[in-house]
Amino acid sequence: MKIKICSGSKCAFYGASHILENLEELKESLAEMDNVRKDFKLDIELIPCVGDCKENEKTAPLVFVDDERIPLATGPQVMERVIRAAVIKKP
Amino acid sequence: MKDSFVDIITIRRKVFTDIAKLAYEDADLSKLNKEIYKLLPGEMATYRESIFRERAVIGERLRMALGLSARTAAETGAVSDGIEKIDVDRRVYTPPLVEVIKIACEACPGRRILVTDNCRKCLAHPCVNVCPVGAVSIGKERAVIDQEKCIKCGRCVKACPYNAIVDTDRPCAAACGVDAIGSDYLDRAEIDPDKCVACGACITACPFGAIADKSEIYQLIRSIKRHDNVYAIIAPSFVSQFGSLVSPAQIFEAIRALGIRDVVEVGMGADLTTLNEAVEFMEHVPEQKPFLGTSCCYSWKLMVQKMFPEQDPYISESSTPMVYTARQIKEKHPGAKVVFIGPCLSKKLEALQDHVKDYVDFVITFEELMGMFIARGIEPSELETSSEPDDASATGRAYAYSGGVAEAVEKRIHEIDPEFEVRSEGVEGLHDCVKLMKTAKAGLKDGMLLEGMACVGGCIGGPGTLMPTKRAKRNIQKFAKASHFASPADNPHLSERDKPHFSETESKTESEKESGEE
Repeated sequence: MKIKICSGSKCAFYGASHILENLEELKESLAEMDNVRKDFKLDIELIPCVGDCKENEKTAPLVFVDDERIPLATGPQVMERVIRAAVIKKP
Repeated sequence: MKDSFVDIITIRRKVFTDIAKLAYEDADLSKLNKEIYKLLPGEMATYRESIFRERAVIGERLRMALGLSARTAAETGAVSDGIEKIDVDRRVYTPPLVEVIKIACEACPGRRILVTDNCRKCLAHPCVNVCPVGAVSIGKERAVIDQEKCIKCGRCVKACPYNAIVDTDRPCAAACGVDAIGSDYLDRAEIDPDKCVACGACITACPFGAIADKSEIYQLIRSIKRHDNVYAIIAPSFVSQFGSLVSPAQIFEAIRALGIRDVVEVGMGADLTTLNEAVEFMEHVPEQKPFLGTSCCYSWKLMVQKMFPEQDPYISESSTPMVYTARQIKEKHPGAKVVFIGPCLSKKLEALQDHVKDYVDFVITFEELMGMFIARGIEPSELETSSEPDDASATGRAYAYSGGVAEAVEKRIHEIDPEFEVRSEGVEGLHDCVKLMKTAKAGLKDGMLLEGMACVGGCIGGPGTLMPTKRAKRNIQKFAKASHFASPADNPHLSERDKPHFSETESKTESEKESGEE
């Protein structure tokens, strides 16, 4: 799974850095869980300002999960997608 | 910054951005009411039980961001009441700096040991057996603690096999290292301004966002718009604060893009602090001063002043990095205005002091600066840069994290005299600062250099920061390594006047060296 987090000023200021923290901690948790798919890999990438926030106020923070665009993203929302893809069965 | 308090942090930041926008647009502040509806539109509450209360709270937040005091429910009138007096281009706010927004405070109870419904009324009931004052008994539903008898030792908390007993406190009071938070007549938090040292720990800790500090972004922007000679000085912890993809040079460029003439690293002033504290330690410890406390953290210094007045003379007399840096700019550019940008709230208070206020015109945090970038649509990561910041030595740049100051001073002492013996100890967080001073007062730290940092992690853990401390530290170490000057003594930018004029120690060591060479 590839997650791209927009790291433009607005996104970073309004929550993107929290989402990054959430995901990095989740990545550590996943490494310790034994019900994670063997082939699951989590790639987190910071990308430069996408620029969408300039046209639409309701954008930042912006995250892409496997190229699905998620405006006004939150940590729990993105983490849930990761868990859904990564975990075989609830512990 | 407390990472997981996203909603509270975001509201605060939106307020800063909004106020910055108003200042840049020369908006009519009498229409401030409109901003409340812009920030919290619609009919439904998002954060609290009612949209009316949410709007009342954000109104007070806007006022504090403009430099005014927060009002109580007895005083709240129009959000723009009294706004004329802050609509100026110079510093206007008056202490107290850190205030409880009373209408946002939920009057959390003070510290208690509580039995939760995890309790199974077990046969062994170790909670009863370990209590030294007979405060725990087994009630009908669960164990019961007699709050009158309880001495809050926490033994039952540790003994319970079901984790059914908790030690709980109001977060603001628990975070306060100087016991400055009491209660008002409605049991809401109340800050004692005589005890408060403006570290900002309670602001970060409050889960209701009910404590805030006053800001001067509005007046700063008015000043930038009016004068073309506003200079920024930026604290060593600035590296990587504005996004992982933004270089130090781009941060400088972004600040210039705000209309600020130029930017200087406060690490330069830190170099002067290092040079002076090293000499002060060598000359005065332990004869005149049993130990020497570092001077750069104003909350630490203020704590010593308020709680340990007899030990106050043992805090270094050297000026702080902020003061040295600002003074140099004022001398070089007569008539210039200086804004200090840092992670710190107490610098806002330090700047009001008689010996500082002529040098530092404004103080804002990294968080407030970021609000200004967003208000102006500045994207630091996209800016072209021509030169790298080059104002500070490696050890001056390392002032940003705990341990960095003492290390810089020690290193400098050893440059002057490799044989000189110096022991140091550093603490971070105001609670530990107080503990350290207690032991120092008892004479247990004699002969030592004591580094006090009110924030956990040092300045990179300050309430006005934007980045997690771990990441910030890594990037600062990289930036420090890239400095052209290994020692503050190599830094060519320092004013001769502020360098230490020690004769005794140096002449002694130099003559010793000479005699050694012979």
